[in-house]
Amino acid sequence: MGRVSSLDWVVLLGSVSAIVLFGAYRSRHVRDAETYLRGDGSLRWPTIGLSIMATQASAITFISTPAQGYADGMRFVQFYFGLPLAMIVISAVFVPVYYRLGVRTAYEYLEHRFDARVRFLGGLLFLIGRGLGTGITLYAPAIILSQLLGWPLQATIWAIGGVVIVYTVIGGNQAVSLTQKHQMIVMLTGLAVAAIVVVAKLPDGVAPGDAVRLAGALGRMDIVSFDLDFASRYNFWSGLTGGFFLALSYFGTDQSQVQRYLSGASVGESRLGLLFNGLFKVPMQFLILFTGVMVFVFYLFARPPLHFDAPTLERAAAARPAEVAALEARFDRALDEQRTAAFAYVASPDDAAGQRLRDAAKTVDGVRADAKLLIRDALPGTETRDTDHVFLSFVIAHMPIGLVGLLIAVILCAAMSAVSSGLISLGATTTVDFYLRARTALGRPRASAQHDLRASKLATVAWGLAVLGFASVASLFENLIQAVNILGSIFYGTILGLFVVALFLRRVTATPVLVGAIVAEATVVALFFLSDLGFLWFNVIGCAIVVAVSLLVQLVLPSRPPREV
Amino acid sequence: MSSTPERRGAAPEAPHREPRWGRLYVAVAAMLVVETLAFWLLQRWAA
Repeated sequence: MGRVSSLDWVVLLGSVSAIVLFGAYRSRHVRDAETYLRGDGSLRWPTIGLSIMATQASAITFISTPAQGYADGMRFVQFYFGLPLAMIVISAVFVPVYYRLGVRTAYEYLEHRFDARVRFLGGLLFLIGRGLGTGITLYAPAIILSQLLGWPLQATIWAIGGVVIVYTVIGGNQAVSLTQKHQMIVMLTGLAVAAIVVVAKLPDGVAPGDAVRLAGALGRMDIVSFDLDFASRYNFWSGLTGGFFLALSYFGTDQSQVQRYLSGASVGESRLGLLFNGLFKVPMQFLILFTGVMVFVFYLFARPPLHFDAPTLERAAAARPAEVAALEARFDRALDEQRTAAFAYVASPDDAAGQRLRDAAKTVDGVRADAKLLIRDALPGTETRDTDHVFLSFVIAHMPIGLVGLLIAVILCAAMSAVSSGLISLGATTTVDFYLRARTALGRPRASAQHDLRASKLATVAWGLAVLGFASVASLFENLIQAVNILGSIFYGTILGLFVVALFLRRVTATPVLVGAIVAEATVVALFFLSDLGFLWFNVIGCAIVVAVSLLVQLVLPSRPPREV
Repeated sequence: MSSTPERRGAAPEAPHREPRWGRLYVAVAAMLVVETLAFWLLQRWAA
């Protein structure tokens, strides 16, 4: 694609490198492992809050979520309804306990409360899930950026990953938090600018209110559903319950998040950072989805590509030129009809005009579906899903010069922020919960601060290389990627169960909770392979089994006084 | 005004004001209710 101008490159490289250099410079005086893994303990709530948001907002958030709005409308926002409530529980219950015990990782708490076996289990489940997850966090945007901008895939992966490893190792947790703060500011700015530009690009005579009505007529403004329907993936109730458990597990027990708020200056700052996330997460997701919906409305009037994955369409056109040309002609006619129907609906939004618009949109969708069939036929084995290309394709084709660079910077910032918090948390867990703990278990004398710092940095680099390696070969295992995305949910329920028992069931001891965790994990893995259950439910089921089984086993074991923590 | 022991000594530091956590938690939960209601109204208007 040739629409990335010199100004875009200046904006892109200028913003990304300034953030990275500033973060690395400000945190360059790391002298010991404690500062490397926790920071200097000076962070205030705005930095913590933005850092928490940046950790969760991977590039996929800014690529796939607008695409979700484009294709499916606003209802995905309900997935986040449980999050504010989870922030309240974590602020009130988890944060004070972590601070009181002075833990560096969430799993260190499990040993305080139970024993070293439970700590290892929690840490191990985290390392597997987060290690693979961070690889995908790096791979997913790299493949989209490389296809769209013509960058080589492996070079894109190694450039993004390499930069993240360098600044994470130089400045540790403090560098991650500081860069994330500024990366999140770039992301929010880019998002707001994209939303404003897409609305401003609507044709004369189509006001923002008209655009919302058009989206409503085509089913893109179904935001909240109070129907208690277990088959539907997103409704108010599943978002509130499944989303609550998922957020409780992710923010309360996943080291990549726990490390963010444990770097705060006090319990109060950490709590405020979490509540900041609770207040702004839902509006942010709303805005991202709404931007996607407005891109959809924009393409009711402007000509979208027949298929958003341009390189794939070009290859299909090279293989079957006449058939693709015929489809393009059909597509143009269908779009003309849709455009006329859309203007008619704006002029007079009655039932008849709405029905005509829906019929026209159905014809357009039909031509698109035929294009996918043709691609599948002409290029066997090629991925025909093009929704992840919708937003960046719009950015490249329709954003003003300069803003294209800003929006690509948003994707890069999102990728870097999520990968950096992944790496520092993987390094922290490996060092604190495994390496240093093993030294203690083996009776080795306490090493120097320099030794611990070197071990922490080495663990971060090792995980960085492992993540890079996994991202590099991920394209060979397309089917695995979906599995890795679900992997988090396979482990999250069990990990959350360990913490729920630890925090709320004071009489349960180590062995029962271990048995509960093993039974829960085996059940969830069996359900994953043998049932069609939605993966959000794994969080609830895994947690519930750990709680129930550990209570049962505790009943039959001779009682011992619980540890006071 | 009577002089407290604190007042008699060196000038007291400004008291550290801890937020009222209960009220903040209620405010965050209330915001979710307001958002849900706003989304529902927007959806009704767009339909």
